[in-house]
Amino acid sequence: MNKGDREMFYLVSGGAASGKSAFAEDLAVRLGGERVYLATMQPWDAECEQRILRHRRLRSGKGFRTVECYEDLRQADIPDGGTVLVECLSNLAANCLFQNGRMQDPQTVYRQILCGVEYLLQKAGHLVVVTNELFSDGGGYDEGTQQYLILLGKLNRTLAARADGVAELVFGLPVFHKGGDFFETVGAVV
Amino acid sequence: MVLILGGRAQGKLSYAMETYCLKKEQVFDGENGPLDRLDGYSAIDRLDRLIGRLMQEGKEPEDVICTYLAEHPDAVLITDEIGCGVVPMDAFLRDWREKTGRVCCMLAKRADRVERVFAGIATTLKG
Repeated sequence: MNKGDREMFYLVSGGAASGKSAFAEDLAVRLGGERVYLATMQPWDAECEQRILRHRRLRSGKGFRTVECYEDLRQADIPDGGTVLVECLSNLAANCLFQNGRMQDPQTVYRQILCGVEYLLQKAGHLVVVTNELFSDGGGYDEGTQQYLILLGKLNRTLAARADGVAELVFGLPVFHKGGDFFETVGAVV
Repeated sequence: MVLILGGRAQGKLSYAMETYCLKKEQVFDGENGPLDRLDGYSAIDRLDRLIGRLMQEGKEPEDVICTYLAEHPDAVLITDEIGCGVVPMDAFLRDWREKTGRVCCMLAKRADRVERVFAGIATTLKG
């Protein structure tokens, strides 16, 4: 099968303010089809609202329909065969792990999120998932944060194994950890 | 301009000094150096700290760095990748991390060469 005909799954990661959203949006636009932006950030406070506004501005004019989905990806209203961009896994994982103000069972949350991603993979055409690099500072966190880091790390590893392409953004430059040629095929290189 | 990045204590400065033939006195220390005297240095180390200090002084880090680069287009800039940790509880630390990321995205775009140092070993990301 020709690479270009297949439905693709990309995982895009990076640290804070590393340009991962801009890269992921550009990738989704290049993949074509009806574009849906699955937004997982809840507008808790003014700072979250600012971030959401910044993201809205960044993707305006790129033809995305925004669908808000804070916890269960299987509830998301997405069309068959379109290109779905999930922004981002780190918010989704936090929303699910700390639902109703207390920590849920990480293993259950892990399975729920994977089921949600499977649902998107079945229903959507191309899928781009944005996640986050939160794993390289000193540590010394409370139990909840540690469980969260383990959960997100495990999700990242499982999705990276499943993905056709994995890119890490480093100050706006993509480092391809897997499937670099798939990114090149669609022209998503800097 | 060359941008060198990596985690803490990865040997970025040693790598930069050896590769770009820099002497200690040619390197501005972003953590302790006087903020109004960047001029004349061939390299800036701890750029992330410099950005934080400029923010605390109410200065715009992009302006200061771009002014410096106008005079030193061949400079070597060295920074920690501070964005790869848990979101800090402290609002200033969050702003600092965000600003450092955005400034470094701009610098990586402008740079002739970008290198990432991991355990003393450099990988070229650009150039």
